[in-house]
Amino acid sequence: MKEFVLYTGCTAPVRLPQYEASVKVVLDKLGVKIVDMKGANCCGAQYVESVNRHAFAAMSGRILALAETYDRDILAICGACSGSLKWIKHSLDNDWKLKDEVNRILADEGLEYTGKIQVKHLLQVFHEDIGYDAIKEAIVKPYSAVRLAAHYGCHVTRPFDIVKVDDPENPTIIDHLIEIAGATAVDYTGKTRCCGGPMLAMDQEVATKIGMDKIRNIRAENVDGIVTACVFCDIQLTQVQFGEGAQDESRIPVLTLPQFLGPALGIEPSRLGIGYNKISPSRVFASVVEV
Amino acid sequence: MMMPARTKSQKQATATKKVSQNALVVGGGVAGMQAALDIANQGFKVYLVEKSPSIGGRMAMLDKTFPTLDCSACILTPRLSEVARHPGIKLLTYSDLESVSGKAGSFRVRVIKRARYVKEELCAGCGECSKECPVEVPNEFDWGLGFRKAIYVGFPQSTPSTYTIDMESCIKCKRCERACERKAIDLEMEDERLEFDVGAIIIATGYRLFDVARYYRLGYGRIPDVIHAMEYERLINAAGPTHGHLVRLSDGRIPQSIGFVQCVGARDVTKDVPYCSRVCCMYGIKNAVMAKEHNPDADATIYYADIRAFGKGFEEFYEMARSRFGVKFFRGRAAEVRRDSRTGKLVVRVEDTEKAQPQDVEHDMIVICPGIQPPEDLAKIVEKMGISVTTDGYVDVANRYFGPVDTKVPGIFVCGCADGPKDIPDSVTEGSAAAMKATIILSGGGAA
Amino acid sequence: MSEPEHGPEKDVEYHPNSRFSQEIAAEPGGEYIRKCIQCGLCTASCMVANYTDKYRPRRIIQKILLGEREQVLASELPWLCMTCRLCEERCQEGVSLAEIFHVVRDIAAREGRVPKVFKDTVNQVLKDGWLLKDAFSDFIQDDRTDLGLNPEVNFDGEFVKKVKKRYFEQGDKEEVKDE
Repeated sequence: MKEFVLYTGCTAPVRLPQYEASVKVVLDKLGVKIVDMKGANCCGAQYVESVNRHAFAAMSGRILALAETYDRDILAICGACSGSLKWIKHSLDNDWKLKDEVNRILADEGLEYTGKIQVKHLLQVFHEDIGYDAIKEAIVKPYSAVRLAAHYGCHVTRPFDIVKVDDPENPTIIDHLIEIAGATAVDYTGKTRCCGGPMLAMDQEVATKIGMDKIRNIRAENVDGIVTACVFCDIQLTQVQFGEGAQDESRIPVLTLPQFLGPALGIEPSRLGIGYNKISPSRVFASVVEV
Repeated sequence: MMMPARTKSQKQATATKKVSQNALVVGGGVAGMQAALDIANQGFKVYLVEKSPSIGGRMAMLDKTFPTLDCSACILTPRLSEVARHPGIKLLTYSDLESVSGKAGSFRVRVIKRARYVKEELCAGCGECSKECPVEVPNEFDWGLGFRKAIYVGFPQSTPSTYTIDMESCIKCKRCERACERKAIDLEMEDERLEFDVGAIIIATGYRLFDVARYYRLGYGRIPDVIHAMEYERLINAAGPTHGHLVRLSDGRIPQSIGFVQCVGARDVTKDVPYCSRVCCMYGIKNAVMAKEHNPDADATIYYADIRAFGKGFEEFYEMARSRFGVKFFRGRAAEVRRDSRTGKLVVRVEDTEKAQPQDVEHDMIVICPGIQPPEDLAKIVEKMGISVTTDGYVDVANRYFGPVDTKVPGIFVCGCADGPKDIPDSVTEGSAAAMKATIILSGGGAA
Repeated sequence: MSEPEHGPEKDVEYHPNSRFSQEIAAEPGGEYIRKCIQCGLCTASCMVANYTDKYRPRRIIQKILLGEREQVLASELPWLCMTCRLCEERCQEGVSLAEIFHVVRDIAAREGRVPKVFKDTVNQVLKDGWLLKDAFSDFIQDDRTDLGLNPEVNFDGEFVKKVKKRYFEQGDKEEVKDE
């Protein structure tokens, strides 16, 4: 079966380790082998990206070159990382001067970017490498009577020409997986809008307003939970619900996609780090297994 | 391509060479009909092939035309009669072009006349059969908004007035057969193949609308009160499914506020239609004016990037829409249309670029004004004649300046929207132009 | 660092073929800026525009086209773009706004004009090799162990030193501009 080298990015291991853990456990169950990338660095998304194009290319370029030493495609679980790596891969594959420059700075480590490996986001691995049929067959404890809203994340799905994951205006991969696992995927206004995470640096107030806009639109559809596929989105959509005046009962649980799929595949919730989610998703799992 | 003056002996040679005195026009819309009439009025014979059961094309579906606000059917239907009655025009409706061979002056054409299961020579168009038919299906002429029977005419002035049975929907109960006094129904009818020679061919296949469902963000197909311009035409038309009452499809209520969205499926590189579709600004304004005519208290807003009022009387029409009718012109391309579940209103998300103010604007109905496209089967049809289409899908003309109705194959011409978007006057003009070019061939290059 | 008062700027040409628009168009990502017809589809789609009074992506493009170089580079507005790219996906003329703002940021950075939070974060990354070394406490290591993960995260801190030396120190600035 397919094997990948996992690039976690800076944030997942520290702020959302349960996402990292559940990715490994679920993919293992579905027959995909993951190896950790050792000696990685920040992909340079957002910050280095904004102040120096060449430094950004070097940082993401190094990760692409490192993956070549593992001779495996990269699995990126964070939207920003996935977007950066794919963007830089596209740049290096089409701009030989940039590629030469990056390879020069990688040379004394003995690393080289040749472009032979691909970058895939988690959603692509589910959709393209494992496939809906295989996942459907592996479901042993389907959900019932659970309504969930999917949040894809901007960097996962856009720009479509480069990332090629799902329809950027009407993405369906997560919704499909929700339905396969027996739950109901609910559509909502502004499904493709940003969670507001990237704005936290410059203006936290605006970032929160943008995040709450999403939460309000989702809440209007009476859902039991939100399913995410990006580290930042997951953290942001959770965090904004702890703002001023937010009540505990009205908070909507946010869970990462593998945490959602896990119990339906017969995996123990403790192995998925459910307890680490800030908003307890117990009502999501009530129909499957006791959390 | 200028033809040199012909000597007497050359003319004699042509006369004996046998140039067919017939022409073929493919497409019975306003351009094709014009071409057919102009050729037939010179004494030649024209085969007019139309794939639907009636000639009339898109213009028959429109309510009013810009910039004069003429009633479309009123000015068109006399044409339909003229074409039908003309001794020089042989109408082959419900027919498809099967093959073309030969060259200018002597093309051999094969046409399939599809079985309509009603004999044309016997049917009087009385409609008794239709009354008896128990099967109701969406009417293509009304863009699925209204219904027709399995035995039907698309609209009251269908020409020929012969009824047609849609065999896929027919349940063969034979009630129509029993009802028909003239014994015109023949359920065993088969497709007929016709073969004939023509000297020149004119392509006049018209247009289809850009599929606006491809704009997920505009909600067509998901939100019932988001409709497109042709559906709107049928709703405001007195002969349409609601007898001309402009109502919402969701609850039948009269909309008090209508938004018109321009540049959908036109001037859009992301959908591979970078070109301007020419007619949408004008028909959008016309539609907005009609909304105010139907309900002067309602408000009609057009969301646009530019208003292209390029033709005679168009700028004046635009001004009249604004000052006399009170149509609102909002400079900003509509980004999203959504439905507010609490109020049931439609909300357009747009930036007022004149004030740098992004905002939500509420409406009861949204009319999307799509660009027009080449018909789906155009490439296949013209391939039979050895003609190619451009990357945009339109018929490739020989020379944009001096051969705008000539295709690259001598003897085959094009008119109307088959070679690019255009309005009714321009389509009619091209029809006449193509007829002229065709008859140069048919007349052997000189007067008798 | 808010938008300065709008007054006549020296050397601004006020037409879409300005030197500044050409400067942007010359960089990768900025090529199609002159296709903009100011239709507002981007700003209508923008969540930041929705929740602020000052940020209008269409206006930033307008200012670039008209040549207001000083105002645009001194402003914090180009740094507010979240790069969500909803505008880019929808723009019917093919204008890549997020990429254009990246070009603006790149040029501003070359001239030493970077918002503090960006500077601080970049410095953090260049120091440690990744963003959250300071936050990586023992508690988190315990959590990782409990989750069956390797408590060590194994990020490399050496490479960024080379990146810093090559791209962020004064002497090497010229090499950055080689295309």
